Formats: sequence, C-alpha cells, structure tokens
Amino acid sequence: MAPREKTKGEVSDLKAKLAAVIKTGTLPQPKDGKGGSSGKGSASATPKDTQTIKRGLFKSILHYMTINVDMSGLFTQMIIASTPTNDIVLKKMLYLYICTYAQQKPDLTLLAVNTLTKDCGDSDPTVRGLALRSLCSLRVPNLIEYLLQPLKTGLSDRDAYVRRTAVLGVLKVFRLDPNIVEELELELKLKEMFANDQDSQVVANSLSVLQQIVRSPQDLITKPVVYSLLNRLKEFSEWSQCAVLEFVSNYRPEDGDETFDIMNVLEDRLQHSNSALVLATIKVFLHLTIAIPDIHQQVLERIRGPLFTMMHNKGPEISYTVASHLRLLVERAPMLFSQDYKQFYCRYNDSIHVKKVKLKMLTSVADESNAYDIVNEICEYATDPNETISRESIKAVGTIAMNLGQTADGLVERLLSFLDMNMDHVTAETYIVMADMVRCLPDQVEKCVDALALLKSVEVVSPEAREAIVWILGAYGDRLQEAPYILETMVLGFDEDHARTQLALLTAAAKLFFKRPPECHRLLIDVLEKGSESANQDVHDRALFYFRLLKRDIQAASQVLGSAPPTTATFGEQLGSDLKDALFKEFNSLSPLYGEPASNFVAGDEEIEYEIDLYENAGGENGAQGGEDANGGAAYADTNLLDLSDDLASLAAPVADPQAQASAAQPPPQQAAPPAPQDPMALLDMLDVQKPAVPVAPVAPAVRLSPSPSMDAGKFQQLWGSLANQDSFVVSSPQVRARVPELANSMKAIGVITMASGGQEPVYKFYQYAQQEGANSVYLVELIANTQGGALSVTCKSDSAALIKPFASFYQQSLTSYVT
Amino acid sequence: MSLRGDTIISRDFTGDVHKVKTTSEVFYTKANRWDEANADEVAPPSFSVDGVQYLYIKTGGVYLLATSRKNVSPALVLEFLSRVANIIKDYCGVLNEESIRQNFVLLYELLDEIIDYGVPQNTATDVLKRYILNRPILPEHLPMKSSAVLAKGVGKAPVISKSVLSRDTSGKKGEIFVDIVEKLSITFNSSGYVQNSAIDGSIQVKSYLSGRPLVKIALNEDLQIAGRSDGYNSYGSNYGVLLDDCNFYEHCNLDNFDIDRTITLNPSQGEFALMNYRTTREIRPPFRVTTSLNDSGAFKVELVMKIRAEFAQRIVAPALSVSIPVPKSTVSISFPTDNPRDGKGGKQGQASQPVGTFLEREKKITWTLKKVQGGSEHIVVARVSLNSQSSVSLKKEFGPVSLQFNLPLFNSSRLQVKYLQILNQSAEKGQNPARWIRYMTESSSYICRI
Repeated sequence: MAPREKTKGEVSDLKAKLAAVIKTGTLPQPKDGKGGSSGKGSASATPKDTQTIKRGLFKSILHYMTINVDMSGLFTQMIIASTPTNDIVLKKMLYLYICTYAQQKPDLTLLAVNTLTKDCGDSDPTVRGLALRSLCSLRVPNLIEYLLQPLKTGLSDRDAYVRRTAVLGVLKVFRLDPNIVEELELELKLKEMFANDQDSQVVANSLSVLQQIVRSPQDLITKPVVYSLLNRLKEFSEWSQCAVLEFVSNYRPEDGDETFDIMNVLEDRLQHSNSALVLATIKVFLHLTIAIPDIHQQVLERIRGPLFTMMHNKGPEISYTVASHLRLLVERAPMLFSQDYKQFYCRYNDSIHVKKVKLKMLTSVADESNAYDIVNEICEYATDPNETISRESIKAVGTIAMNLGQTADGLVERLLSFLDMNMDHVTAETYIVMADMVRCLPDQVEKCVDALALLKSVEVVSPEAREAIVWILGAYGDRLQEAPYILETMVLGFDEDHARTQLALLTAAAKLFFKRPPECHRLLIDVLEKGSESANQDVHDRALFYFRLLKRDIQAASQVLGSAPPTTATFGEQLGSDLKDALFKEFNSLSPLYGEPASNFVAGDEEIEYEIDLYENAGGENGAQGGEDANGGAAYADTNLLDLSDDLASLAAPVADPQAQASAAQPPPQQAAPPAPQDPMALLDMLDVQKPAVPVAPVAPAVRLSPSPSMDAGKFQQLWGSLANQDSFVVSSPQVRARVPELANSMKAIGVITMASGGQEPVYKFYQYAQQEGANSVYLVELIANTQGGALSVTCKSDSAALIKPFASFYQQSLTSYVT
Repeated sequence: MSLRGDTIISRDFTGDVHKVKTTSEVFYTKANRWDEANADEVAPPSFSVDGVQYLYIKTGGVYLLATSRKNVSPALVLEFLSRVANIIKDYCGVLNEESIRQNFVLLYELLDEIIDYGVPQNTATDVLKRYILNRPILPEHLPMKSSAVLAKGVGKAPVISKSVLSRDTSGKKGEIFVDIVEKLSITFNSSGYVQNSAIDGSIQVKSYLSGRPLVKIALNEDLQIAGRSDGYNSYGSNYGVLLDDCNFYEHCNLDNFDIDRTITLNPSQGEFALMNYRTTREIRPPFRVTTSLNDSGAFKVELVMKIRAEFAQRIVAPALSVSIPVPKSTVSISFPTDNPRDGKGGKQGQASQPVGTFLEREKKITWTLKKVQGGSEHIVVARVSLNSQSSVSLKKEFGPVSLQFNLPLFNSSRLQVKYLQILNQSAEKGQNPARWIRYMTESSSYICRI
C-alpha cells in the first residue's frame, strides 16, 4: 500500500501548489526542496516566472496521469490555473488533461467548454485546430450541442489544418450520436469536401470518415472519384496513399483498358520504400487482374522483386509481415516462385517467425527441379539451436517428400538420416513425420518400417513421437518382424506413459492382434488389463470397449480393427483453398499473418462496441454485460426444455451408436478381413480366461445400459414432465470446469447419451437419456454444472421405480470418477 | 513502453478498445511469455487477444505498441510505428527510455499532430516543426556538434544524436550525411564456395539542412537494374553494378534517374532511407573461412579455423566475431596456448590475437578479433572434449560458423555516390553546408557450413 499512500501525498501536494500559483502567481516557499522546475520562492514573481512554474506543475500532473495515477481531483484547479492564458504550451497540456478526464467529470468539463469554444474562434489556425480537436475528443454525449457550431464553422475554415481536424471531428461526433450527423447533413458536406477540397489531407481524412459513416461504402466507389483520386495520388502523404489504394482496390474497372490505365498510373508505387504502400499497390493490382489470368500472372512476376527486397531491408517486424503476405502468394501460385527458391533460404539472423514462414514457402515451391537443393538446405536447419525451427525443418522435409510422391526416394532417405543425429527432439519429430508419411506414400512404407527395427523405444521420450511409433507398428506391424516385441517393451512402462501413447498402444495391440494373433495375444491381454485399470477415463473406456467388442463379435471386431491401413494424398492441415481465397481477399491486413479470416479475430459489429462505450461513459460499469450478451447468445434453457433441445439436439442426437462412431473414426471397414492363420476365436477364449483381470466394476448388476439407446426430443420433453420416480444428488470437484467440455462424450461411453446441452460460464446444463439393455426402461438425467462452485447437480428420472436408485448410484459413480 | 513493462507514454485515440488500461498488461505478459509450455516460442510482431490486435516494434530498448480492434494493415501500422520512432529520434536526438521520459510532453504534442483519431496525419519532421512548441531535452553526455561524434565509430555507423529542433551553435552551416549501408548475407558450403549471397543495401540520408534546398545525388553511371527496360539493356553485359531491385523514398525526383542515374530531392530534415536495394549477383566476400575438424583421440576433436580478410589493406574491421555451435555432449574446450582450465582465452604477445570463449549454456564458441586489417590471415584453434564417442554424425553438430563484423569504407556492391550537390544555395551566406558520404558494410547472415 505504500506506493498508493505516496501518490496520494503527491496529489495533495500538487493541489496545494496549484492553489498557491493561482493565488500568488508563485509557489509557496519550498519546504522539501522539491518544488516545480524552477521553484523560485520570491514574492515578486514576474508573469514569465509564473508561466514557467505553471508549465512545470502541469508537466508533473501529466506525468502522473500517464502512469495511471488518478489526477481527476485537480480538475477545477487545472482549469482555473490556466484561464485566461495565451500560453499555447500550457493550453495543450490542459486540453490533454481535460480530454483524459472529461468522461469522469462531465460536469466540470462544462467549465472548460467555454474556453474551448472561444479558442475555436482564435485568429491563429493552430489554436483553432487544437481547440476543435480537443473539443471533439471529449467523448461526453451531453456536451455535443456545444461543439456542433464550432465543428460546422471548422469544416469551412479557410485554413486546411482546421478543416482536417474538423473532418475527423465529424467522425468523433458520429460515434457519439449518429443522428446528429444526419440532422446536420454533415455527410453531404463531407462528400463535397472529399470531391473538391484543395488540401489532400482534407480529402484523405474525408475519405476515411466517409467510409465509416456512410451506410454503404461501396457506393462511394465511382469511376470519377477513383480517377480523380488516382490523378492526384502523389499529393497525398504516404499514409493517405495507402488509404486511397485500399479504397481503390474495391473498384471494378469496366474493361481491360481501364485496368491497364490504373496499373500504369500506380506502377511506380511498387518501388516505394514504404512497405505498406507497396502492399497496398499490390493488392490493387491483384484484385484488378483477378479475372484476367495471364495479366494476373504477369503481375505476380512483377511484384516478386519488390517483395523480396522488402522482406530483408526492414526490421524483423516488417520482414515478418511481408513474408506472410508473400507466403500467401506463393501458396496460390507456387510454380511462379519455383525459380526463386533461394530467396526463401533462412538467414542466420532472421527472427523465428520469419524462418517459420520461409520454411512454409520452401515447402510450397519445392518441385522436381529444385527439391533436392531445397531439402539439402533445410537439412542444415535441423541442427538449429531453436527447437521449434529444428522441428519445423524436419516437418518441411517430410511434407516436401509427401508432395512429390513418386520421386521422393532420396528425400525419404534424407528424412530417415535425421534419426542418426542423436538429438532427442530431432528423433522425436522424425517419427512423427514418418507416421504421416507412411499414410501418404505407400511405396515408402518398407523403408520407414525398417528404420524402426533399430528403435530403442525407451530413448524416445516425447509422447507424440511414441504415439507415432506405436501407430506405425499397429498399422504396419505385419511387415516388421520385431513389431510385437517393440510394443511389448513399451507396454511394460504403460502406466508411466502419456494418455495419448496409452490410447495408441491399445489400438495398436488390438490391430496387430488380427495380423499376428499368436505373437500378440499376450500383448493384447496385457495392454487391455493395464488400460482398464487406468485412472484416465478415455484409456479405461477404450480398453473396455475393445474388450467387449472382441468378446461379443469377433467378426465385427476384425472389421473395425483389422482393416488395411488408410492412405491419403493430402492432409487437412494444409490451407484449404476456401481459406486461401478468403485470405487473398483480405490481402494487406492481419489475416495473412494469423492465417485466418478477419471474422475470426475482430468483432463483427463495431457499432455495438461503440454503443457500449457510451454506456460505460455515462453510467460506469453498467454497460459491461451488453458485450457479453452480444457474443454469448447461446440458449440458456431455463424453463422450456423443448427450445433447447430443438436448438441443440442436432449436436448430440445423431451420434448414438458407439460402434458406428468407432467405425466412422476408423477407415470404412473393408470386406471381412481373411481369417488369420490361427483362429482368433480360440485365442479369444484364452482371453476370456483372464476375465478377472478385466474388471467390469463400474457396471452395477441391475443397471445395464444399452449401447445404442434412442429417443427424440419430443418424447424426452414429454417423459420429463410425466415421470415420477426420481433421485437427485450433487457431485463436487474442483475439476468441473476442465471436464465440462468433454462431459457429453465421456458419458456417451457408458451409454448415457446427451440429448441437449447449453449455457455459458459459469453454468452449463445437460439433458441426457439412457436405456436399460434388453428392457424398455428409460433413464432421463438433468445435469447442471456450475463451474464456479465446482458442483454438478444431477436429477435422474426413470419409468422404473426399481431401477431408479441403482441407476442414480451408477451414474453418480461414473460421474465422480470422470470429474475427479 | 519500457522492456520492463512500464508504460512511458500512451494515448487513446478512438476509445473503442475496452479497458485500454489493461492492454499494456496483456501485451507485456504475452510478449514475454508467449507460450507457457515452450520457451522456444516467442510472440510474433502482431497478435490478437480477445478481439484486440496488438502490433509492436522493439527499438532503442523500448516497445512501441499500437492496438486496434480492426483488421488493420500490419505493414501500415508497423511502418507508421517506425516512422514515429524516427520522429522521436529526430526531435529528441536519440530514442531510448530516458529520452522519452524526459520529453513526454513534447511527444504528446507530436503524437497529437502525427495522428488524429487513428488516422495518420503529418509525419514529415519539418512540417511538424510548425506546430511544435515544446523544446526537447537532449541527452547531456553528447557533444553538441555532431561531427565530433564521427571519430568514435565503435560498433555501428557513427551515431548522430542531434535534434532537428536544436539551433546550430556553430555558425549557420547545415549538414547532410549520406550513408551507404550494405548488409551482407552469404552462405558458404562446406568446401568454401559461395552457395548463396545477397546484399541488402540502403542509402540513408540524415539531413540537417534548413530550408529544404535542392540536393542532387549521382550514383554510378554503370548502375543497372534487372528487369527494367530503361536506357540500359542490362542483359548480356557483365560489367557494372547490377541490382535485382530497388525502391525509393517518397519525395525524390527520379526523372533523370534512367538517363544519368541522378536523384534530386528536397530533403526534409531528419533521417530517412533514400533508396533501398537488393542484389544477389556474385560478390567478392570480404572474409573467407576454412574449417577443419580432426579427431585427436576418441573423445577429443580439434577444430582449426582459418580466417582470411580479403579486402584492401587500408581497410580495417574494428571488430570481427566468429562463433560456432559445438555438440551438446561437449564437456570442455581448451584453446591451445591459453590457460586450458577455464576456457577463457589469454593473450599471446600480439595485440590482435583472437580471444576465444566457450559459452557453456549455449554450447557455442566465440572468438573476438580486434582490428582486422585487410589482407591479414588468422588461425584459431580449439580442442573440444566430448563425453561421447566422436563420430560422423557428431561432427554434424558442429557449425555453422557465423561471422559478425562491420567494415567501414567498404562496399561490396560497388554502388557509389559519385557526387552530392546542394543546389540553389543562393540564400546561404557563402558557407557551404558540410556534406558527408560514408560507406559501411555489415554482416547480416554470414555463414560458413562445415
């Protein structure tokens, strides 16, 4: 608390000093030797001294204001101390102060308005502009009436400096009250200025204001407007030029000649040193020619040079921006850049982010002619001290190999040679890439699988890499003699492994079992045993699922698990062409940097934002919840269950059958796999002998849930209202918040299907149902999760009076084990 | 904002970013710890948190940060921020935490003129002067006359810390500096051949001329720019300076550039890049490095590196630093003729004897060579002790060698400023403004693979 005490002291100290200056024109006798900048304590202060002292005091007040110390308490003194004054420096400081605290002290601000409006009529244009700017920046809705007259006068001021300020003032007023702008027909006035004003900055400001206040900005773009802007383009400042070009990029010329005219006018902008301007020009070029493929291609060739120059000539921040945009173009037309691949080589001093983007570009431009050069270069990056870059490089080599397909022989060998480097993360990443590669390049499976023969699994630590290895062994274990033994070693340490490796081990063992039953049955038993004992719900469930599947229908199991490994040509992670187009439309914005369209990261409706702002200004924090309403419009489902289920049933209802789901996740089952040399059935009997090892504990004797219950929303609604047998309990756990997102899925595993769910922080609701196996009894569940208190309140209903208690305790048990 | 996360100055223009005061906190946390799990990940120069876009540059030991709610053009914002940085330099002499703190009122005044409601306004240093009334507080330790600073060009190009607002104390003459700064990126392959090279050059102008006189700058007449169909046909001829691409400052007149390679301009006061260029033509590298790795026992490798300075004798590189990563399994390194224990290099009579250091944490050796004269040759040796058997794959963990240096008076592209004229000087009282043309080559990414 000490610092706060101290600043409080400072505030009152400053207050006292201000008061003294107002009274006597000088500071009180310095007691602490700390007085203002020139604390001459003499009684006969000249106006000059007073000015210096005032400036010093104002300066320290602003200093505290900057470091977030509340200085609003000095408002009155500030105003008195500075009126009347002709000292512009003092005025500027005062206005800055007023603008900062006007929202907190709207009443006191009224005192200052008078001075401000008077200054708007000053003979010095600098003062007029300053006053007008400050007046418009107050952001106090009640004071709007005072600024309208000065604003209107300002728009017709003879000095361009004032007009510029006034134009932006219109936007500021618009944000406070759009109706006033309409009433005063300011839009019309702005359009006139936009078209006719002599000063280019006034025109530029009108453009940016008009774009924000006009209902359909698209209508502004007319041929004469575009032409007149382009003709005087060079009068504009470089920033305004960017704005103009952004505006022009939305223009669609009538014919090819017009396109060429525009491009000729803009040609020299490409050799400007400002990267923003060059990117804006490129955007115009690309969008103008999008419908004329051969010209478009010429444009791409033309802009390569400037982009390469900018990628290295500026600071790391701009390099990254340029590189990201370049990447977008490279990925649209890799062919065009395939000669320039050396431009994308990473430099020692490139930032990590630039290196990452360059690796992506190298990956894109690699083709038969340059792939070996590129891969040789990338291999050098694998030893980069930065682990991320090292991993990305290996990934890049893998991707290039996958993209090239048939001719990838040598590249795969390069990839495998990373295994000899004895660096943990290099090895790990190589395995991960390998798992992708075998799916993509069936020809290379042999090589990759052979490389696993020498594997010492204990040396691989990363869970992702272990998962990848296990996956390969599961899918292609029939081609590698050692496969079961490697898996066996890994199962020994099952309990210490990461859950994802455990899951992979379960699947791999089950898959390999169908390929090599005699060698693998022991492995399968071990892994199922360990898995079913796991505290991790997913692992536990998967183990049980495999166990039951194998036990119930070996044919079905073989269909699900024993199918041939999937192959695929491409992976979902690569930018889809829809996304690429979306990003291309938003060229020269943040979208290419983030790799996602603007709608993902900026608020959609900006009007709402500003309105909330006003609420906050007027009445403190009342407006805050408005913002949450705007984005969290999800149904809350309080009383009307049906509404909720209608809205959300689609989320849950269709996936009812766990088997169907499993086979959807796996590749479509092929025609029954040929029976393995030894009858799996016989082996399975042996498995059965081990039964005690696979506990079925969670399933209470009376309650056996059907794996595929069915019910529609209407019936649920009706039953919920009519059923009388019910039981309620509460489960508490600090983990509730973390578990809620997956709750529906994990309950599905025990046969409880979520019909509907919804809500938002901190309360979520779930409506679930289940069915007794072999009987018609149904169970309904309402679960209210409070993530703040960490409590799950459950109400169960059933049509069977006998089963309601056992079901409730079964459900409680499952839920408890899931959330704790 | 300082690198410690304190906001030094801030200004909220549009008021659409909620709880503006918290943004600096959000930014600081993100910028310093981008990814909790992986320390190797650092924040990109722009990122988005809760619908607020953060864009920043880091310069002079401070962050310049901009926030927005819109999908802005990052290039525009970042260029604008660097322009702001330049303006601060122009007005306060230097850009650092101290100068910003001392001049914050002036900077508020500047900011208000530079940008209004998020729309960039005036950014020309001398136009701004008309509206600026506060005087800058200049750093004290620097001499008033900039030319005195020239003498101590230690690391980088001489720093001129002078405000455009400071009145000249020494007579009426102005000054103009034209620096040709080239950044060299060369990659040598393991057999010493240049595998990839590029020069990123820039003609930097710092003008302290009053009244925007007309300045004419002439470059080599044999300058050619690839892919441009101008007076020169650049193909087929292999003489002259050939550039891949270049770009120019906003306010320069290139009407005669295609005819006689002259650029005319009325320079605004302050600092700007007149021309940026790039070439990937073959260049003569100023340094060549040959490295050999020899086994000297099962767990020992001897690293011998020969560095030859292949430039004219009159040129001296003030400092050359050579660094090479070594395998993770390195236990210790000794530098022969040095004290073998601590790995710190000693001296061996000669003043220019390289000093070797083993950076244990980063697993890297660096040598620093002082005053490397053109034509000289230096050999450095390190004995590396490993805790695993030396093997072929282990040797891959050595390298690449990277060189860091700067070479005053040296220019690899041979691009030259032939003359620099200040025209229409009639108003001046006979005295010519001082003109400085300086050349400098710096290493950007100078890599030799092993």
